Amino acid sequence: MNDKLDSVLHTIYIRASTLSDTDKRNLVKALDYFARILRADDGERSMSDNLIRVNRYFSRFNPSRSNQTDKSSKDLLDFARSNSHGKWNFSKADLKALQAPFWKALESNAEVWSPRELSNLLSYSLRQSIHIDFDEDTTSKTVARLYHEYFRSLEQSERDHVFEELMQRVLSEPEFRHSLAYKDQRK
Amino acid sequence: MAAKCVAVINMKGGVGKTTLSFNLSLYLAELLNKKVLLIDLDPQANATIVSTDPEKYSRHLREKKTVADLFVSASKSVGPVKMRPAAKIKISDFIYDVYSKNGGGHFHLVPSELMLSSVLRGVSLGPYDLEPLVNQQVLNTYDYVIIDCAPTYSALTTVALNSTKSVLIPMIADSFGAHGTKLMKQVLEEHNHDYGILPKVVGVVFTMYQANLRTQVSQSNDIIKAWGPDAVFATKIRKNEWYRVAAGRREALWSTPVHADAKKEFDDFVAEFEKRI
Repeated sequence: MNDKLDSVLHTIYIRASTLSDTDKRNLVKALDYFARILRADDGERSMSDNLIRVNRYFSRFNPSRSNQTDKSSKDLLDFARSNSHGKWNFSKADLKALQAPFWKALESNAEVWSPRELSNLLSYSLRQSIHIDFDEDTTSKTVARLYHEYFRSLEQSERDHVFEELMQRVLSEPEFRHSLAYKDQRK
Repeated sequence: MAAKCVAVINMKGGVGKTTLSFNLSLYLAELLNKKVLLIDLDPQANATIVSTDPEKYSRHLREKKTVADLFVSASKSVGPVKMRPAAKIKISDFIYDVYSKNGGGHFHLVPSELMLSSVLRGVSLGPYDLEPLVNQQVLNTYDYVIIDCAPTYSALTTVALNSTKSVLIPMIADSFGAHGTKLMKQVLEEHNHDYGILPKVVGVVFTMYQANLRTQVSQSNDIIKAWGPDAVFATKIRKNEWYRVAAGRREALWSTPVHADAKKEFDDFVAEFEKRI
């Protein structure tokens, strides 16, 4: 038995020692069923396949995680921008996980907008106008960075509140989506 | 204090101008106890139809006047082109009482009728605003004067813009709506060129909005980018079948069993309207 497995078993033991007699009996039954899954020999699936199925099954009951959040942030951004039907259906966990990659993508593709257009779009989406002296040195990337700084200064709850509309607006911009797709193809 | 005036206008038809004008007027009167005058400046007279009882409106046509009569009787011709003020115009001859509560708000309507389109030919000779009807004394008796406009750039548009000097622009976020709203920008600029009046944009408000449609979000982005964030209402009025049903029943939205979210949305819209105007 390796150290990792020892540690998991010890955790189960510690948690089980605080349970009532009824809950202890239920836990023993559950572990027995789990052992049957591991012993199951259906001829086609290996033990690791079965464990993946078990993991998928139980992840459905965990409200803080969805199938989407199991994906990497890049996968989530890919999913968001390639969703051609335009139906937005993100969980709160998805939206939280998307914030960092979204801003990274926005800053590196900001040039698809003029600085003033981008400022108008971000100002409306974030319900906040940042004073910017637009001159020939002002770039769209600067605008994106300033609004990102403002976004980071918000409380987490405020960020979560404004992020969905922000992401919807930016990802609905055809030039931005094309720019992301083009950069992906070049990788 | 003189009434705050606004023209509800867009060069595109079917964007919800009349529905918005009617619900806004009734909301201000019924729920906020304001004194509201709605002027129907559209020959199609949809605001009149939704605001009036058919029998009472027929009686009004027999006994009183519509906005079309204003253009007929505001001035009289004394030569081939020269116009002279006609007899005094009394607003009470035009008023249809849509809603009134003792000690509270009221919603008065100056109705329209199809005949308004036929008097348009003479409007180029005046009047150029509604001052003969809505003079300073009248303005002092209302909190709001709202004009429901036709979706065309005509002499009636000029009259509305000269009278209110501010505009509320309902818009559907689709390609036709975006085109109409862009035309609206041109109209305001031309009006400034012709009359030296650049009407204040109270705001563009997205109506029949569907946030889950990427095309709608994209089209609304175009307006936000072009007009700037301050010119666009944060509140969006989502598509809701109850608006149509309520109009058919000549009722306000909040008198129907519509979902509380839609009522709240209209509350938010009116609150934002009051801040902006």
